[in-house]
Amino acid sequence: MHLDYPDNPLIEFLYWLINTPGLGGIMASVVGGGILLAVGATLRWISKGGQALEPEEFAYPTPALHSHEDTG
Amino acid sequence: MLKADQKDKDKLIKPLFETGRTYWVTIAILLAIIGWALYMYYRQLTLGMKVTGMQRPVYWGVYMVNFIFFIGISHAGTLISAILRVTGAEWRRPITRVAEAITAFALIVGSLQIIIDMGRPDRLLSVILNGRLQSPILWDVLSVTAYFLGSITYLYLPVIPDAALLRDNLPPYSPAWRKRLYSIMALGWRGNRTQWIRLEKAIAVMAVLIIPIAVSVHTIISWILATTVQPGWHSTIFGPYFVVGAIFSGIGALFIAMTIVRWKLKLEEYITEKQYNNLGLIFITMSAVWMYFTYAEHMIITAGQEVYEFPVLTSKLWGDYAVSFWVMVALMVVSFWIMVIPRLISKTAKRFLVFQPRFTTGAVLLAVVTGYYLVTDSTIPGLSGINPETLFFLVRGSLLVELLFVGLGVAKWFKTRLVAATTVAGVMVVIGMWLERWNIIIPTMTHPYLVSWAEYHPTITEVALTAGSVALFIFMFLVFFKLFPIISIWEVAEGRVIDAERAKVTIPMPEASGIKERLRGKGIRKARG
Amino acid sequence: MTNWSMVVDLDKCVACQGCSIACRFENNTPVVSPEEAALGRSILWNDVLPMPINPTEDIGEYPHSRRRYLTRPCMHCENPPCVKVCPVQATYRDEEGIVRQNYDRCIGCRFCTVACPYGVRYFNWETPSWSPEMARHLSPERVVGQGSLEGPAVRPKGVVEKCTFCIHRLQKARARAESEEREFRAEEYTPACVQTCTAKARFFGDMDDVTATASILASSPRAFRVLEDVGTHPKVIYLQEG
Repeated sequence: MHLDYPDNPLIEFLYWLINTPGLGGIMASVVGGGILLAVGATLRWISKGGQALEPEEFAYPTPALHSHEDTG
Repeated sequence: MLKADQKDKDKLIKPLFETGRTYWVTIAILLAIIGWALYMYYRQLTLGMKVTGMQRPVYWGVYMVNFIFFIGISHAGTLISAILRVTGAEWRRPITRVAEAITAFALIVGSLQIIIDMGRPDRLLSVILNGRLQSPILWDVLSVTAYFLGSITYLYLPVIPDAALLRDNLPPYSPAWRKRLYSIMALGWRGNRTQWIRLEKAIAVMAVLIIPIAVSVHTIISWILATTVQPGWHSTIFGPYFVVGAIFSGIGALFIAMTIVRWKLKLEEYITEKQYNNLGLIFITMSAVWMYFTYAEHMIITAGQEVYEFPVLTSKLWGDYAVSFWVMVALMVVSFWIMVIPRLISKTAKRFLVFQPRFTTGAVLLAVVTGYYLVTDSTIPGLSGINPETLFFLVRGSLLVELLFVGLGVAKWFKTRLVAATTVAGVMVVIGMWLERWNIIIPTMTHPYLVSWAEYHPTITEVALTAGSVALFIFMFLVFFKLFPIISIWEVAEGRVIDAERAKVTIPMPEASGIKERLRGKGIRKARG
Repeated sequence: MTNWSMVVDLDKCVACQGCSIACRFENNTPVVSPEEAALGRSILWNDVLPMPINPTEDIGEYPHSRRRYLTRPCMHCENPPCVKVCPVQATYRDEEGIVRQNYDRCIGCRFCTVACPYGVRYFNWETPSWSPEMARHLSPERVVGQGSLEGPAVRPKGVVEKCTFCIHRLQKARARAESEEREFRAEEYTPACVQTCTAKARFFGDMDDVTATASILASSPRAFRVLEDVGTHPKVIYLQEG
């Protein structure tokens, strides 16, 4: 008994995709690396926010901070 | 310089720098357990997996149970901080950090189980170098990696303002390295408007992203089992069933952690009954959904009675795994009971006899006596004339009624003790969920198609590594919360602000005519005057 | 294209377990202590099972009971569940339909052993060992191929192993044909269990060759496959008794 998969290049490509050793590792590295890069960029972005020329500093998100958010 | 509130300073910052003897004793005990586990693992590495109780056909045992259990626990953090944040539940604030820490550490311990379970841990890197996407293990690698990195970030982001707060509010006697640590962790946090806005944005985006990842993680773990054709596993229900179970056990673990923290650090002002109550309601929902799934899973097998699947079910119902199965059911039912029934009993219930302590004590004594007769199967004096079949039902029926009365009495006691009730339920569910994973994996493994049915008894190695894993989890928890405040200081402060704002708003009473207008809007005809 | 397959005539099989022993010596499967064997840790690439092996069907009561035996090599499925779940392609199906195992790459996660419904995969719970006399007579055969450590090569602990249809014999037969500068014939390749079978109950051959004995027998009305309903498309074909 043979398994009948349609003779379709797309299906063949997808099978190659899931069956090739190493591609999983590449995928995992892409996902992991992508997340790390995104996290790094976000942290940098937050850190860089400190260079803005704003004299007030808030230890907590106080009403002053919130009310400013509404108006500006 | 950011200035911390005096209250936060006393309650949250001070304990980070004052360590009592209990803390060090606990750390020492945990390290001893971890050391024992490390030694046993070294033995397993040198002697081979034969030191475990695993064999053919039980190729997966306690390690796999632990893996699923710990990854399940890790869903506590996602639920609390992501789902509740997205839905705008304000009461989440004091418990977010505990929940997120559970997530991160449970994930580390959970992933470790796979390495412990591998026959060739030295070839771990091969999963990356030769990884094949068709294997569910690779799906797991992908989703757990994403989840781990995501939850570490999600734990870290809210720590930034707190680290800055600590950096600027260190007590004079604190060691220099801690100042350095907090300066690095604070990433140059000034607390100006731009930074606050950016931080809030980042957290909001993370909260949305982490929910589907968390769902995928436990779905895929269930698919490791469900993609095989083994009896009892090849089922589509496993994905949602595992996700619900994961969140359920996560809340259970969170309850335990919350209560210990609240009791040890005297944080009653921060973690209030409100958190216990609201989280308890989610817990009740999850419990109900979990029971529904459990029933559905087993019910379908009962109806089918397939030659290979049915023995798996019967081994749980009255076979080798009856004890673990029924203990699990009992734990779940009792935890549901002590969460639900106290909420239903009126405050004045004491008027009724069944809720009075002396009645409950009597019921307990009776139940013990009935249980004794049931277990020892001895004859009951004075009832020897009754037909044995009638007696069979009589004894079991009266035991059930007695237990019901005990339950009502206990529920009355728990009525005024919400924290105690919730914590007890949490402990029960954590144990029950571990057993649930056991009941899913082991009965199927011992009842394969073409290998003779087997028994599985974990060995001391597996016990040691399980104990070591739990110890490692608690150890990481304790170390982390010696360095960082257990409660997200700024988030709670923000909550205080929001509460204060809300208190100012007064809602005017609607006028009588206004009500009539609204009723008409709903299609109710105006009364003819 | 060749598609190696096996036919077992259960009418002829006398359940002597000669196949299991021949396999053991051909493929260097390790010997375990009686205590380990009691735990189900013995390794038998080809096993002879009493059927039904578990109380899943009624076999009657003595003296009216019915006992059957099933000799079980790897089924070398067309849709092998073990191959699908392997995260590192340590197990794979080669172009000639043989499911192979590379001990060099196996990480010992035991997913394949769990996924296989036939229980043909075995895990090395400890470092394989033999008594000195036996150790001197280990089969020196080796497999050259994708996996540098395959077939009868002595396995390290912590990896999974399985029946390979004695793939080293195929390679040897091919090499011989090549050195004698002639065409390789399918009959030159027989696994050890087929060669040793006391009752000549086993037939081995190329299923794509309609004139091969195995191929002709496979179309017998007595032909059936084990656990056909789990979707593995097993390639070892049995001929029903009676």
